[in-house]
Formats: sequence, structure tokens, C-alpha cells
Amino acid sequence: MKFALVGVGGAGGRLVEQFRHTEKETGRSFSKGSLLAFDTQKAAFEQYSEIPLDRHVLLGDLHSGIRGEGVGGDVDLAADVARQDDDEIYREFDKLDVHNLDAVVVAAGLGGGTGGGAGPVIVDRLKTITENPVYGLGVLPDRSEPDQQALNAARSLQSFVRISDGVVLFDNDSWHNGDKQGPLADRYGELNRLHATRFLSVFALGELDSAEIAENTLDSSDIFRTLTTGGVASIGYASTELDVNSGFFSRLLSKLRNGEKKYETEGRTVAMRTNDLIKRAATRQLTLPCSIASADRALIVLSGPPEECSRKGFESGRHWLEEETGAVEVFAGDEPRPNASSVSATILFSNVTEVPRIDELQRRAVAAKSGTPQSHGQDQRHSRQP
Amino acid sequence: MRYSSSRDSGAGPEKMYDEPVYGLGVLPGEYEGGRPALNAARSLQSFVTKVDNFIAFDNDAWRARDQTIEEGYDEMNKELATRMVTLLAAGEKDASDVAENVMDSSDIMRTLDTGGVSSIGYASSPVDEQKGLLGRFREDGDEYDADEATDATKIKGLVKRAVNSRLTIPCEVSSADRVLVVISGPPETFARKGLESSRQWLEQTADTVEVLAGDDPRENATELAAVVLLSNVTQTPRVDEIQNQAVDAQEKIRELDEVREEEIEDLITDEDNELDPVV
Ligand SMILES: Nc1nc2c(ncn2[C@@H]2O[C@H](COP(=O)(O)OP(=O)(O)OP(=O)(O)O)[C@@H](O)[C@H]2O)c(=O)[nH]1
Ligand SMILES: Nc1nc2c(ncn2[C@@H]2O[C@H](COP(=O)(O)OP(=O)(O)OP(=O)(O)O)[C@@H](O)[C@H]2O)c(=O)[nH]1
Ligand SMILES: [Mg+2]
Repeated sequence: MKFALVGVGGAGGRLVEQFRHTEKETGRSFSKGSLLAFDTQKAAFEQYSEIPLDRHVLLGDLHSGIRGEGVGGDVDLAADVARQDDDEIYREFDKLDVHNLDAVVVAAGLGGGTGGGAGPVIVDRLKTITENPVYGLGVLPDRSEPDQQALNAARSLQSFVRISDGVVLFDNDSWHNGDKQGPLADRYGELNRLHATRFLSVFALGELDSAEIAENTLDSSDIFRTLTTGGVASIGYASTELDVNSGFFSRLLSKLRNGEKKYETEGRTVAMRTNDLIKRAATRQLTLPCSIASADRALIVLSGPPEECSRKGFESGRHWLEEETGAVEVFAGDEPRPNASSVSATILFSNVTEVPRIDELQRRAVAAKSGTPQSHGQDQRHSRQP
Repeated sequence: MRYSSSRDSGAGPEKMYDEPVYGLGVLPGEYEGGRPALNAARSLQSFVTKVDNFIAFDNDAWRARDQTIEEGYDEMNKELATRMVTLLAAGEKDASDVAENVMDSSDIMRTLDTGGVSSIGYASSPVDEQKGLLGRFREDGDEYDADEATDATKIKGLVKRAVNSRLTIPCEVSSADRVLVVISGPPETFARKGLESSRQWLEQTADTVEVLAGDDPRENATELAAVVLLSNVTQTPRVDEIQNQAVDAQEKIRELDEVREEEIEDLITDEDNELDPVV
């Protein structure tokens, strides 16, 4: 699938930066450079090297309370600012060339003022310029972050889900352990790489420059179908490094030496490995931990050397997932990468509805809202500025 | 006979010509899950009402074990192609310019005229080169009869094998409405008696008097093949299974559709609705 990438706020911009980097590095041409990074803080753009200068869009630079200094975590202010800059936002959209792409993805940290507040406004405006889906790619805050972030995220999630065509979530909390791993901000790069691998395995499917024709092809319409449910989506991923000795040539050799029988035994092993990989992708840590039984639809992508992808294993893995999720629509497809040294399975779970982490955020947000006075509007916010 | 093929999805063909329109449809495997079954069940209805006959291929019955995805459908497609080509090649001839016993297109059309779903069986065996040569130059009458007798047995055996082979869609052979059998191979291996006893055997097995049997001479063929067309078979377990699977899927889809919006709202709002959206 080809899609435009729009980052809003610090997390959004860094994700776009990382995705663009991965795009170049892996030869998956999904965006063709159709990028934009919005922020309210001028300094945020300094860290970008993959996003060209003409794609840096500063919001609220004429706004008296901001002037390129950011919104300091105020989602309502950020949303107001974005609304006021409507004309500029639409002008920048022209650079995205959305008509030649399949979708638009808007990335944002929902706990941030800019990402959480301006993000949904930008999704809303994008929805008016394209018939194609506009998906959200949202980051949920870590528990070590202040109440403000939890409240922002809980409120912003409502808007993102209602306005977009579906939001893939990445939960910082379950991917980061502050006690052992130090400050969250130090790990942004690492987390964003993990996220890029997972997100792009699904969303940039079929865009490998070196691609062979897949047997069970998935295309953008299958991703659309999986996500037409709307709601919140999560991604699971597992990969196995291939032992050189279990490769195609050694199997061919053993076939020559020992005849069909040996080959069949080995064939079953590949089937079991494939099946196992799919199970691992579904049961290991998801981008957003959730009950997969609550998923509405799912899509599996198996990627690796063709001879390492057993049809039987693939089928039984798909069947297993159908049982586990109780979903009727479980799409599955392969991506042949003849010279790859690993096999991976990636699963997109759409409309997951049992997500403990979201309940937790909401509880914290409610407590924060009733316990501490909230800043609404620029005056209060301004008064907090030193 | 001119023919075209189409898959089992989509809206189905519209009838635009006077010539018969036949469907060749692949049924999804059970392992593919509820959605393909639902599509197939619905599409099959449309196909069967719109085409003159629907030749079915059951992926479930033909799927090989221990395959990589890469090997995919190649083998199955080859098997299906062999059956279709052997059958339809026999119909390339017009009734006027062929000898007695030789199959022509009107025989095939007549057999398929029943409508419904059809299945194909196939068996082949290599032509004995020696015998083939001898056969061509044989002069002695006695040897001729002996040959004729073994050829006849061979042909009947081949036809039985074809019917008992893995059919394109497994079915109760006795539920067939009409049957056609084509023996394809070097003409010197043909035996009129074999054809006749095959026809009689088929009448009994398929429990129908509408059995057509004929030859398709192929001078340089290295194999002798029998292809059996079982037209309008009504007992096909896989079709029933797909229908059951489809009903279940439809029910589940309805349930999911009903609660979807509510569950999403439940997820994104807090219990007492104290949190308001940003936008
Ligand atoms: N995984 C990941 N999370 C991030 C990253 N940057 C920020 N976050 C998270 O996203 C939340 C929002 O942070 P930012 O994106 O910097 O905030 P912003 O949208 O720029 O909003 P303001 O700076 O308040 O205007 C944080 O609370 C973190 O949880 C990142 O690069 N990767
Ligand atoms: N025997 C056989 N079956 C196939 C082959 N390709 C696909 N199938 C089966 O046909 C069904 C439909 O698959 P496709 O033909 O790829 O689907 P399509 O008609 O292109 O439909 P969409 O891709 O969903 O728009 C699958 O569920 C498989 O069961 C093939 O080459 N041979
Ligand atoms: Mg920021």
C-alpha cells in the first residue's frame, strides 16, 4: 500500500522521520516522499534529517501565545491553533499528492499537546480532501509521565477514533520499563524502530522494490477491509533468523541424498515453523496489549524466502487465528523475499475492544481531571508559562 | 468448441450469446475460513442460475500436504487443465466430419445441457510403444481379436479408474444426470467393445440411461486417457459443507456488525463519561 505520512508533534515527527529512514533502508517505497511534519514548536524541526525543510510546517507561529514556542502540553490550545491555521494546513496538503496514493497515515503522541490536540484536527481536514482512508498512528504515554499526558491521551483518543478510519496504537508503557531502562525519552529511537518494523510490515506490504509475485497476494484493499471496522488496532510481530543449514540448498541436498521421505519430514518441519511463527506473532507483546479474542478482523503477513513459507503451516496458523479471535474476516498473504535471512509473521488486529491499558488511562485521566484544575484555553496556559 | 473460463467470485457472467456459457469455478478450501465460504456459497447460486453448466473444482479435495506457498496452486491447476483440455479438445470436431464413435461438440453440449454442477474424472496410462507399432502392422486375424479383447478390457479399466479417481469435485456418481466419456489417445489403441462396455458400466454406476461414449483420436499421443464428465451431480458433500460454513459466517458477521459501534464507544469513553473529546 502506498500512503502519505503526516506527523503531528514531537512523537509524530520522529515517527515520520524513522519511517522515511526505514523506507529508504529496506527498499519499500510506500510514501514516495509524500511527507509532512506539523508542530507548534519551531525547535522540534531541528532534529529531522529525512524530512525535507519544505515539509516542516509550523502551526500557530502568528498566535500571540505561541510564536513557535509550542503549546506546553495544552491539547485544547493546540486544537484551536490548528483550526485557526486551516488555510495553511490545506495549502500544505497539496504537497502530499494524496490522489496518487491509497491512504494517509497521521502519526502523533496522543499525550502531547500538539499531537493530541492538533492531530485530530489535521485528520479531520484530511478527510475532506480525500475519499481514501485516513488512519491514525497513535502513541499512548508511559505511566511515568505526568497526569496531563494521560488526560490528553484519553481525550484525544476519542477524537482520533471518531474522526479517522481507524487508529493503530503503540503503547509506550508496555514497551518501556522506567526502572530498568532509564528515561523514556532516551529510548524513543529504539521504540520508533520497533514500531516502524511492525507498522510497515503490514502497511507497506507489497511495496518492496525487489518483490517477487506472491502466491497469496494481499493488497491495499485487504488492509482497507481489515480496518473498515474503525476503532483501535494493534499489531503483533515475530521473526526467526534462518539457520543457514536449514536453507533451501541443504534441503535440496538432503532430498537428493535421501529421497522423498526425508524431504517430507523436513517439509513438515517448515510447516510447523510457519504455524509456530504465526502463533508467536499473536501471543507475544503486541504494539498495544489487548485481548485478541476481542478483535473484529485480522490480517496476517508472512514474509521471507518462499521455500521457508509452508502453505500448510500458513493455513493452519490462519485457521488457529480465526478460532482465537472469533473473527470471520482473517486475511492472510505472503511476501516472498528470496534472499532474506529471516522469516517474519506480522498480524494486524483491527477493532480490539478489550484493552486494559486504555481503561487504566481513562481512570487516571478522570482522577486527574477531578483532582487538579485543568488548563483550558490559552490564558490559563499562558499564565503557567514562566 | 470455443470456451472461456472464469473464477468463482464476482457477479457472474451475463448471458449475451446464443452459444452456451459454461462456468468453471474453484471452491475455496475449508481451511480458508468463513468469508471465502460465504462468498463461494453466494456466488455459486448466481453462477448456477446464470450459466448453462457449472464445472466445479474443489480446492479442499486437491490440496497437497507439505507444500510451500511458492509451490502453491501450480500442481492443482495442471490437473484441472489436463481434464478440461482432454474433454474440450474432443469437442473441437464438428459432427459432420468425424467417423462413428468419435466424440463431437454436440455430444458435449448435450451432456452439459442439464444445467447444475458438474464434476470430471480422469485416468491415463502410457501407450505401450511395442504394441502400438505391432498394432499398426498387424495382419493376422487371430492376433487382431486377442488384441481387441485386451484393448477393450484396458479401456473399461481406464474408465472405471477415471470414475473412481479424485473427481474435480467429489460427488455421489449415481446422482449424475447425464454422463459423457471420452477416450483420447492413438486410434490403434481404441476398441469399440471397450467403449460399449464402459458405456454400459456407466449407465449402471451413474444410474442413468443418458451416457454418451466416444473417442478422440490423437495420432501421436503417448498416453491413453479416459475423461468422464458427470453432469448435474446433485450430491456433493463439499457444497453442503460450504453452505453450512457460509450460514455460520453470515450469522457471525451479523452479530459483529450489531455490536461494533457500541463496543468502540465503550472502549474510548470512561465509565461515567466525564472525559470529553478534544475535537
Ligand atoms: N514511542 C515514542 N513516543 C514518544 C516519542 N516522542 C514522544 N513520545 C510520547 O508521546 C507523548 C507526546 O510527546 P510529544 O510528541 O513530544 O508531544 P507533542 O505532540 O509535541 O506535544 P507538545 O510538545 O506538548 O506540544 C509523550 O508523552 C510520549 O509518551 C517518540 O519519539 N517515540
Ligand atoms: N485451484 C486454484 N484455486 C485458486 C487459485 N488461486 C486462487 N484460488 C482459490 O480461489 C479463491 C479466490 O482467490 P482469487 O481468485 O485470488 O480471488 P479474486 O477473485 O482475485 O478476488 P479478490 O482478490 O478477493 O478480489 C481462493 O479462495 C482460493 O481458494 C489457483 O490458481 N488455483
Ligand atoms: Mg512537542
